[in-house]
Amino acid sequence: MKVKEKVWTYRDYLGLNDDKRYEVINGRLYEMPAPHFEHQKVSGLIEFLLRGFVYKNKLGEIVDAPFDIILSETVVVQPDIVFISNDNLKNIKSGKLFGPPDLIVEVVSPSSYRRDRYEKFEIYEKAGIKEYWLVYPGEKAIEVWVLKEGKYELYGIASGKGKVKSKVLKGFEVDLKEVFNES
Amino acid sequence: MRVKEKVWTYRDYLELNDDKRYEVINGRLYEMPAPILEHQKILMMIGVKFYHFVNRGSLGLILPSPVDVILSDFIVVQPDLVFISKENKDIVKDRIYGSPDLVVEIVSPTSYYRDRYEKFRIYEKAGIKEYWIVYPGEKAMEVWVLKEGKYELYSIAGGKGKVRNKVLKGLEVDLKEIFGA
Repeated sequence: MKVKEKVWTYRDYLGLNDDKRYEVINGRLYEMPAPHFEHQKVSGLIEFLLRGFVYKNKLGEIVDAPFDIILSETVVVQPDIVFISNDNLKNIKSGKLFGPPDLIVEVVSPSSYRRDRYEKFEIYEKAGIKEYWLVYPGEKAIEVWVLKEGKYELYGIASGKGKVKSKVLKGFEVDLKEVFNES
Repeated sequence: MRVKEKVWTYRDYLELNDDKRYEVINGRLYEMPAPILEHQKILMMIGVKFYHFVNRGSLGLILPSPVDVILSDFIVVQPDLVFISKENKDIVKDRIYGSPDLVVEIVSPTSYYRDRYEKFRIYEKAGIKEYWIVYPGEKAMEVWVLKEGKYELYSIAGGKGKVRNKVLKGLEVDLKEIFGA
């Protein structure tokens, strides 16, 4: 939901004090409605799998929303799940990440469909985020986009059944049936 | 579901005689499972909306699946809904031989990749002027319009709102008409 007409910056964002969740995307302020049960369940399951893999292999940290990532003066996002490699942990200051994480997962909902699939897609591509997972609970589908020469390429996709693999987290794969309800 | 390993042609397809539904995409044969109820419900809603608009203006023909659209020797598709304008009516015979003006696909988990990526490229290459993709699970719709041989996202809505289109000027679809309130 777009909120107010002006060019919002990171500073303006910090000045907000009403306990709501917002993102700033290219200078526009969006309020983030509380996610639905199905969204949270799918997001939680993926996070559980990611965290198990990342911790076991001591690769870095996994965090979930709401957690601020400042990508520029006019872009502040709260992705659903974020992987920050050991090398990038130094960019966490005052509890926020300044700069791109290594991998982002967004679980799409009707109200975020456009933002996740197109707006954030471009933002993450431009910010140099190496891998972007788009999860569609309704279609029981997962897409894995990997940066190649500055552009996202579809590295893996599965819908209904099957598995997807990560490139950034070598050896990590998700079987759709671990994440979505059996139909 | 991909069926058999060989290069399938339109001729091979015609000889299949087992009452199942298939598509041939770039020489690969895919069996089409029967769609689930939700898919058919949405198809009906969109179909009715399109049908009335097209008939009121005598603009052409609206056809729901299954109807064969033969785009080349190696490509036979059965889109969920097609619109063929009056000007383009020569392509309509016992099947459709050529590119309709507009195609609608309603995505399901088994067709997600095919609809969103494979058929997207096929329709783009075939010069189909407009491609609507409907995502029932995310209550979202996209309208892609051909511009200099490439699809551009012309209109999109998720959760609520309306989509506009270019080929059927004046037709607006409100998501709540299609997915319910």
